Amino acid sequence: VNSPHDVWIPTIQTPDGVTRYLGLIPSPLYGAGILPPAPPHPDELVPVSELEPFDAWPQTLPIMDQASWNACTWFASCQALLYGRYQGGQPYITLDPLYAYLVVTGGRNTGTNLLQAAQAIEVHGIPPLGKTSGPDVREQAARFRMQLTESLTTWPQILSAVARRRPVCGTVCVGRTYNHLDAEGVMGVDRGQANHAIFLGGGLKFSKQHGWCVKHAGSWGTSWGVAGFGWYGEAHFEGAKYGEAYVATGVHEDLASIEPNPPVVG
Amino acid sequence: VLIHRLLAGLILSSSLGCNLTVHIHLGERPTAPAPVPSPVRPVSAAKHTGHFTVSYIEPVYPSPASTAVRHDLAGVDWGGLDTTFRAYTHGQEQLQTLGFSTLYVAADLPMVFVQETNASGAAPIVPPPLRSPATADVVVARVKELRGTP
Repeated sequence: VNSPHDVWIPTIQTPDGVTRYLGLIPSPLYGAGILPPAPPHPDELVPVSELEPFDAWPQTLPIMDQASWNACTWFASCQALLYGRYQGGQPYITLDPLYAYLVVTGGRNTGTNLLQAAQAIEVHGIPPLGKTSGPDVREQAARFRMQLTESLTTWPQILSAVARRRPVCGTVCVGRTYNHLDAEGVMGVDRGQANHAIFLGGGLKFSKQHGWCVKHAGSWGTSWGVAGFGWYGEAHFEGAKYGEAYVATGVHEDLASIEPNPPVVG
Repeated sequence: VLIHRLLAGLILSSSLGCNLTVHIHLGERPTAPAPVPSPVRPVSAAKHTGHFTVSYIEPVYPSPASTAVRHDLAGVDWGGLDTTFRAYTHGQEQLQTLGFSTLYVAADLPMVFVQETNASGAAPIVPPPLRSPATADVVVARVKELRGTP
């Protein structure tokens, strides 16, 4: 037992000396209540010939740090929500993914499932930091929700979603080599059960060695990777057993509480 | 008198930098010189002074090129243009709430709508909407054109 509670969770120490818990819980099945794989759509996949490299992380979005909390699904999803808000023209606001995580786990540091986190954020949202102690915390959280989330199950789906500047959350197997980024900024590839949820988006590049890679904004602070960032390739996706991913196609905006409010037509 | 008037016209025209063609028809009564035209100014479109809201609506599966436009639009300093920017995806419930869903068909997306908030608080669409702008600059130019600014 190495967590503050009663379950064993694998850990890794990042270069800043912090012990990170790796307790992503894969979905047992794509059953009721969990996002199903999206039905195929003829326009869903961007042809490889139309993929264009870009590296455009919004300056207003900080790298997050989940510290020793086993809340990778919620920190990655929170980054997805914030990235989606940026792409939608909505102003930056600091959200509190840890609060939402602890509500789901009942206060235990046991890890969560990525797709269930996506679903919970679509329904309940994530409250702003500093707004979690009041009686209206549920209403505060509901102001910040994702919409139109879809499960992604193939590498071309992930590439297409990132090429469309959409926020994607994926999974990876973190082992002994993951923290060692190569000269291209690509994380080391470990193979095994997916144990860490990560945000993917904000960049796309082609590498002779790795093929197409997508930008990864980490949740282990700026001392990890290249100022908090790395690149994720097909080998990471395929190397993570029971991995899963989703894209948030839209982001809800609370019209009543954000200024200036988008007006109704008329 | 005729010579004096012609000379006066020549001097006036040359001082204005104009080309002057003089036609002299002997035997006819000389006409007075044509009035000097006022300096040409660009005709500005009707100036819109209310707060603008620019809404970029895209399909569920847009091209990477059009989403690059959306990304660039998100980075524009809209505050300097007294404008708010928002982007939506077809299917979002908010499009119904805001009243956009009846203004387009999915096949026409991506589209850009500009609303101007007037003194009474209403925000009608400023026609026409833009279809598939090639760059963010096209949208910014449209806003500036409506403002009557270069």
